[in-house]
Amino acid sequence: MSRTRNMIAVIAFLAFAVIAGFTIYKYVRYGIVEGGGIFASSLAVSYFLNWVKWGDHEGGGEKDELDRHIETQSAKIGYFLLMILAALILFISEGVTNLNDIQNYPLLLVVSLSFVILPITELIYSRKFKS
Amino acid sequence: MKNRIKEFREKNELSQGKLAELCQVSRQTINAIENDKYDPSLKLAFDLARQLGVKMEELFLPEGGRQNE
Repeated sequence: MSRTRNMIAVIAFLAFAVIAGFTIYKYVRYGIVEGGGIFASSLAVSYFLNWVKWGDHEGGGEKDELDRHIETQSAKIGYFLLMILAALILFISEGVTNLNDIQNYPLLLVVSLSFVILPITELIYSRKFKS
Repeated sequence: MKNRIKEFREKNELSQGKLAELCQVSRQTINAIENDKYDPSLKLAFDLARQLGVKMEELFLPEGGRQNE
């Protein structure tokens, strides 16, 4: 990595560390959960990781076919990881294993949709290739 | 898919970087293909065969197939 690129990566990581650190401090010290801080620190870490991998904070830039292959496979794996994490968070936060006892309906809806979105998208996208 | 890219590349005295430049891909892509970690697209397979001066059938070996001399 070039020196400039290293510096930008360090700055991006520091930004994440400051935002996350401040959010954690407010929670530990005052018991306040800052949704904005959680979201901002997620954005900051995504910028950092994108910069390290692609040299662009939004993951853009010139990519050859291996890079595009990595992007595609990572998207698939990431989708399933997110599905599993959402389900885990739902059951852990609710503290129940019976779906009928769950009260967090929005999160339950998100988890349910995560099973449906991929097949629907495949169905719609496949029409592009059929005559 | 098994391939003989490294063999023909060395015969042509080309580095991975130079071959990558000729085929307009990154050196990592050539390295991944040579080490059977990634199968190239049809276009890249054609480009590799052309740059190395061989036929595709000589460059890429089908799974379980015999290598043609």
